[in-house]
Amino acid sequence: MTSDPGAGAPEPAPEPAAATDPAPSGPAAPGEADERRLHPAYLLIGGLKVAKNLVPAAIGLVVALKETGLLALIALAAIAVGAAVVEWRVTRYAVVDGALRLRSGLLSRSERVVPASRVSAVDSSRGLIQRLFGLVSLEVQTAGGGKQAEIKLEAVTFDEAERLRGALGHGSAPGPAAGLLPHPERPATVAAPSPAAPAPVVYAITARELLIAALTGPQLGIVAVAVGSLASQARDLLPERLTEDAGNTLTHSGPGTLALLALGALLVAAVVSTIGTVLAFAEFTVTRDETRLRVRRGLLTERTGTVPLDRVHGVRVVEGLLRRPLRYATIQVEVAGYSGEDQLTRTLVPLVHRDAVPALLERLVPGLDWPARLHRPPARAWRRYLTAPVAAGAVVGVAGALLLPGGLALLGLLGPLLGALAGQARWRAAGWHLTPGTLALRSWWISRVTLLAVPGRVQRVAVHRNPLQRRGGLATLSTVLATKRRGRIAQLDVATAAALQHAIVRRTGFDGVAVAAGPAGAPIARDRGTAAPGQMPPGAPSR
Amino acid sequence: MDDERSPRSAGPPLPGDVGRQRLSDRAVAYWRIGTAIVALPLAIAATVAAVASGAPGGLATTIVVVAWVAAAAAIALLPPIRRRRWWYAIGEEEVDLHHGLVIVTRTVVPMVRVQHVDLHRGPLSSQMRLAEIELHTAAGSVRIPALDRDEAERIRLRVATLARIPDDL
Repeated sequence: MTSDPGAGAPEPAPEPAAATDPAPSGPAAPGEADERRLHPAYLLIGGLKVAKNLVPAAIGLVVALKETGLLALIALAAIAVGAAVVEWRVTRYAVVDGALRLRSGLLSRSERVVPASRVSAVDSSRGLIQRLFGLVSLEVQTAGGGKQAEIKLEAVTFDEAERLRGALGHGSAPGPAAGLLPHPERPATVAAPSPAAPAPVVYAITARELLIAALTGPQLGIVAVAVGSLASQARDLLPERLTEDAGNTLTHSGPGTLALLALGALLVAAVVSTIGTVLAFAEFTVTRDETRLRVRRGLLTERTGTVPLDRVHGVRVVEGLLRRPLRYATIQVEVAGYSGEDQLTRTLVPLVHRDAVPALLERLVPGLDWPARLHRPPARAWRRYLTAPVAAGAVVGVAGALLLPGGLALLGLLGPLLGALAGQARWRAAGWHLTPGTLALRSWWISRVTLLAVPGRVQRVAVHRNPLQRRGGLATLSTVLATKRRGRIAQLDVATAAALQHAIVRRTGFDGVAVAAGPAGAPIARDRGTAAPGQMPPGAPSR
Repeated sequence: MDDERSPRSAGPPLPGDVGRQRLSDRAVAYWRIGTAIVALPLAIAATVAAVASGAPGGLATTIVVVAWVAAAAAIALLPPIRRRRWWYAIGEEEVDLHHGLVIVTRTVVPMVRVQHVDLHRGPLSSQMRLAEIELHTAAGSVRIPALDRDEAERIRLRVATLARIPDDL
C-alpha cells in the first residue's frame, strides 16, 4: 500500500489502454500497482454523512450542557472530520484482473471484488458536493444484487468514472455483448469515447408533464406518513418542556384550530410532495443505445441509471387514480437483478399521455408491444368480480355502523357501496392479450395497471381454482416474474386459463377466440391487425 | 377431478397432459404422522386450558370437542385428499405441478428457469424412505413433497441435467 497521498490521488490513468481494454489482462499488473483513493472531496461527503448521524447527539448535548455546548459541538465536528479522514485513507479501489476491488475498513478490514462479467450496470449520481467539485458518485450494480449498489464510489472525477466504466466493459461504447432485444434500425455505430456520446433521446419530460406529475402523484399519502413519523421523532429530540407546552396549547384549543392544523399539515405535505417530485423528476431524459437504456433525472441531485435491455422482463403502464381522467400514465420497468427496487428507481417514464404510450414503448423496449385490444373474462364472471369487494365493504360498513354514534352510523352504507365501485372498476379493467413476444395483463387496484411481460422470461405460470370457481368453471391465472412481482387475472374461463398457461410457457401466441366470451360492449378481439379503432374495450388506449 | 387440459392452443401438450406422476404411497401416512405431531399436542393443550381455566361447562365442552374434531379431521381426512390432488410431471421443457386442498393450483415452471435443485430429507421422512424436491428459480421455489427417495433422487438428476442450459437473467 502506498502511503503517499499524492500517489493515490485520482488523476487520470497514465495508460490510455485502460479505457479501451476490458479484458482481464488489464493495465494493472497482478500486484497493487494501480490502487487508488477516492477524490479528497470525499472528506466533505463522508464528514457530512457522519455528522448527520451525530445530529441527535449534538442537539442533546447543546440542550443538556448549555454553555459548554459549543465545545461539545466542536468535539463532535472533530469526530466527524476524523472519521471521514480515516475512512478516506483506508478506502482504496483498483481494477485487478478484470474485476473491481474495493478495500475499506480500519480495524475490521473488508475487501470486495466484483468481476466485470458480473457487473450489470455502472450508474452515477451527482449531489451538491459532487457538483461543486466536478465529481460523480459511481454505483456499480450487479445482477442479483440487493437494494444497495454492490460497490459505491462516492467521489471520483469524470475521467476516472469513464476509465472505470471502460475497464468494467460499461463504457459509452456499446458493450461487446449484444442485447436480446436489438434495435432493428440502428446497427453498431462508431463509439464516441466521450461521456457526452450522443445517444438518441427517447423521452424527455416537458415542464407541463413535470407539473402534472407532481400534482397528481401518489406520493401524497406517503409524505403525510413521513411528516407524521418525523413529528413523532422530533418529539423525542425536542426538550420536554417545549412539547409539553405545545401539548397544552393543543388540548386547550377548540376543534376548529385542530382542523386548521390538520389542514395546514396536509397542505405542507402536498407542497413537500410536489417539490420532491419536481426535484426528483426534473430533466428526466431516457436515451437508448444498442444494449441499454440510460435514465437521467433530478435537479439538485442528478442521477443516471442504466437499464440493460437484455435484462428487461417487462414493463408496467400505471394509470393512477388522478392521472387516468387526464389520460396520463407512468411507465415502470421490471428489470431482473437490478438494485433500487423502489418505485422511483423503477420509473422509466414519469408521465406520458396515454395516446403516446404505444409509440413510446416501441422506442423504449422494442419487442414489447402495446396490445391494440384486450380479451375480457367471460360475462358470467362479472358478479364474482363484485362479490368479494362488496362483502369486504359490507363487513367494514357493519363494523363502522356499530362503532359510530347516531346518524353517522349511516356512513356504514358507504362500505358496500365503495366495494361495489371497486369491484366494478376491477371488472372493467380486467383483460389479457398474448402474442409470442408480449403477455399483457391488466388489472385495477386504485391505479389501472397494464403489465407487459416477455413470455419467454416468465418464471412460472399458475392456474388457481377455489371451490366457487371450480363450480362455475372459472380460474385465476397468475405469473411470477424474476423480479418476484406478479401479474394476475382473475375469473377467466377455465379452458381459456389452461390454454393461456400453455401458450405462455410455450411462447406461442394465443388469441382466445374459441373460448373467450366477451361481455356486451366489449367485442372479442380476433386479431390485432383487423381491429377497427371503434371496437376497443372501454378505456383501452387507441393507437 | 383433474379436468383441465390444454385443448385449444398450439404446440405439443404440457407434460402434465401426457403423463402424470403421483406422490409416494407412503405420503398419506407421512403427512398423518407429521400432522399428528403438531395437532395432538395442540388439542391436548386446548383441553387442559379449557378445563383448568374454569370456563362454564358448555363452553369448555365446546372447545374440547372442536379441538379434537379439528385434530381428527386434519389427521384422518386431509392427507388422502391432498395426495389425490397432487400430481407432477417433468418434461423436457417444463415442470408441471398440481396441488392444493381448497384452492387447487396447477403450476408450470419452464425448465430453463430452474436455477438449482434441492433434495430435502428430515428425520421422519428419511425414516420412511421419503424425500422432498425443491426447485429454485429466480423468483422463489416450488416443492414436490413426500416422494419416494429413489424417485426423488431420479428427479433431482433429471432436472439437474435438463436445467443445465444456461439461462440469462
